[in-house]
Amino acid sequence: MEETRIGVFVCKCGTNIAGFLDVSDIAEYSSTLPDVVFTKVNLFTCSEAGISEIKNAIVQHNLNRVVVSACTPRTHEPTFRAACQEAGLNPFLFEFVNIREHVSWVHKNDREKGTKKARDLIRMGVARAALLEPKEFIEVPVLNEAIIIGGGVAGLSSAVSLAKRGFKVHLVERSNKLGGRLLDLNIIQPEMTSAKGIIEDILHEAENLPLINIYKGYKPVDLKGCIGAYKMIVENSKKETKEIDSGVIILASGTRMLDPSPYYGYNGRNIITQYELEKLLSNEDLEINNNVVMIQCVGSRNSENVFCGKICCMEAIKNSILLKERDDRIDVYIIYRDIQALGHENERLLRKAKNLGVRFIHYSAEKPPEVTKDAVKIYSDILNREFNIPYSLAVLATPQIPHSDAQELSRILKVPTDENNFFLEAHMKLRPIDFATDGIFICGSARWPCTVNEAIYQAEACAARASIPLGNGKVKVEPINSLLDEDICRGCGLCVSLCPYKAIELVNTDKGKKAKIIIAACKGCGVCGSTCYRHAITMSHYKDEQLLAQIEACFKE
Amino acid sequence: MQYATNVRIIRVMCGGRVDLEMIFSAFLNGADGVFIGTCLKGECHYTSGNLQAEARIIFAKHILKYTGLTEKRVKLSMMSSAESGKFVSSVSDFIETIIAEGKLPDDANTQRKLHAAYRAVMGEKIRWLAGKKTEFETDGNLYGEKFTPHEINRLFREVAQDEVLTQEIILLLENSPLTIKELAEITNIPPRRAVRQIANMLRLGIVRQDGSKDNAPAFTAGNNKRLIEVIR
Repeated sequence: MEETRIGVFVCKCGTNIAGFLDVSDIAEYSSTLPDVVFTKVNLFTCSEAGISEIKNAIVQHNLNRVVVSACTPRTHEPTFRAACQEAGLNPFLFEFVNIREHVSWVHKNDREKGTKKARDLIRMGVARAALLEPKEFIEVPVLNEAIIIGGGVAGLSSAVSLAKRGFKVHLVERSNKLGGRLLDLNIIQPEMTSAKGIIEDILHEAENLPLINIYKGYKPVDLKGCIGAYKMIVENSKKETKEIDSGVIILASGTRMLDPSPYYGYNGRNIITQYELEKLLSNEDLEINNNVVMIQCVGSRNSENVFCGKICCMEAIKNSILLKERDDRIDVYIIYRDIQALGHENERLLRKAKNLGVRFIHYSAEKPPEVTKDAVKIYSDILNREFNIPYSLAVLATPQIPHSDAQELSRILKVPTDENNFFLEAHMKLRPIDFATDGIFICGSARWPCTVNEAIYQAEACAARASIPLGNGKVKVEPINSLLDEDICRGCGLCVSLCPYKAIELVNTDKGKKAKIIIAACKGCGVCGSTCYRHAITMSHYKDEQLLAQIEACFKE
Repeated sequence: MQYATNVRIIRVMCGGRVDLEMIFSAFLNGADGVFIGTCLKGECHYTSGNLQAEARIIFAKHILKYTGLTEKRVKLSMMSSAESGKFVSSVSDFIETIIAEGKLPDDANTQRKLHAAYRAVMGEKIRWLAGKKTEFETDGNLYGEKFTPHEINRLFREVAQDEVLTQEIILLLENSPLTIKELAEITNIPPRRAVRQIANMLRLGIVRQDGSKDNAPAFTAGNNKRLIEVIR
């Protein structure tokens, strides 16, 4: 038998791992483990340099197993498997040990015990690696149709983009009207184009593309399947359900506006939100005869909603410009905590507002403004004095917040949300519009409040990403499936009744009744193997002996 | 998001992959507790693996209780992959429980009982019943009789006790012939229970009489090929 030669690569992940664990100790320890013939510390194993070190080591040291102890397999397993393959090593002879999410990030205050845990996990990974066997990926077909959740600007843009590529799209919108928030907006900065113009163009396109199926008034209630063959149940308010099949899913469910009523005496008449001001400004006959005072960060960046509303600064600046251009006699005040005007177009608009005479007054979170019946009282911590500004209109910048049923949707799709209930992508930089679950993508404000152009380019990116499996018509999946030892099987049929995928059948052989695994249907859950009282079934790549070796190694310091 | 460093994580594709063998192998190797995280009910990524895991955990708990260890040493927690906060609080609670229970005793008695437990979960009866739980609850047994959770629990408890005791007696008798009185003393069961157990085991041929001590018959392990052949 070939000698087992394991290479262990320990990643510092910049300071993400090295900042909290003793990486050189971990590497030194790894080199003492059975079958380990090569150990290397990398600053970033996933970098070009790290990858070529793996490839070189495989060739130079004749490695036949590779263990990388770094981050989560969810982001970099494909990267490292590819590196192995390029150096001539079967990608399933690679084992990933997670010492970032499982160790350094969650044990930031205990360097010693964290380092010990990392050593243990690597020892377990090395024990498993030694028993790994070469495998080949399995190809499964992908139904070339997409489900898009949300009929706002993001969802519609994705739908149009996919339909133009020739893919059938099922667009599910919870309300009875397509178009989303853009229907209520006035002018979109920085180009100062009409919001209605933008959305009407996209709607017109969407409604004239026969490949787009629209489900108005429906929302998802259940999802089964995986990439290539999703099956979603949608339901309307009358509890009528429909079943939709698709290969991929794009989530563009957007947000709702925060209820402004607890803030600054909001009354909807002369104390309104920026969102309501949009509607007023689209009215030609709007008459304002005194000051307009805009208050920023209302109900955001506090203990309840810790996040920044992101679009409210530019919305206020844009609306202040529109007000000044409409009637120069109106005095506009923007009372702010920090102004977010990123990018040269926004910077230009900020300058323009200042040149037009819009006044910016800074306040601190500790001393928020007070809105009385006819004036806004504000203490400027820069000028160290208080202002009393009479107003005819006070405008509150309330943020967009996640839908109240975001958690429910998160559970149905099995995709995560962050601590604010916004949906969370697989990786901020490397996979910004993918979810960690294959075949589900995210765009628009459901991820984080975003501008219209951001929503559109995210939507286009989603359509492009989704087109890869849709266009290929197939996708590679892990070759994790049941393996049967026919000699041990007694043909009792317990596994047949337990298999959720009907992937096992009983067949008559010359040795009597025996189970037979239908590999194409097997999804690899392992229920049959872990139940079989004859121990006749195990799982490829998660074999009993591989997992038991890990358990045993856990306690063998 | 921070938690204590006491856990060592093993990746499996589904809770349904966690074999009772793995749980008791962990205890035999020195684990003080075993935590299994699965998908929420009705939301299993693999449709029903979490329910199978749950069935096995009922057995694991009864077995632990019978071996004199607390059932708290094994915990199944259902959560969505999106609920990292729930994972942290669930694992942290478990670590606290285990620290309060203390390290797993490593005396010969506990080790023998754990060894018996390991053999029991490798055997036919427990594995078969664990696999049949969902069917018993929804479709009923061969006669269409559906089991309530209470009935399942009672059945699993009785079978767990019986199977572990059987294996423990075999383990003891593999070493040296013993009388019923000695067996009852070592295994800490009432002599009447020991008589019944040995009678059953004699009937099945897995123990046989081998001489006598102090005028009492002594027993030794019989031909256990069928019982042991599946045990690696």
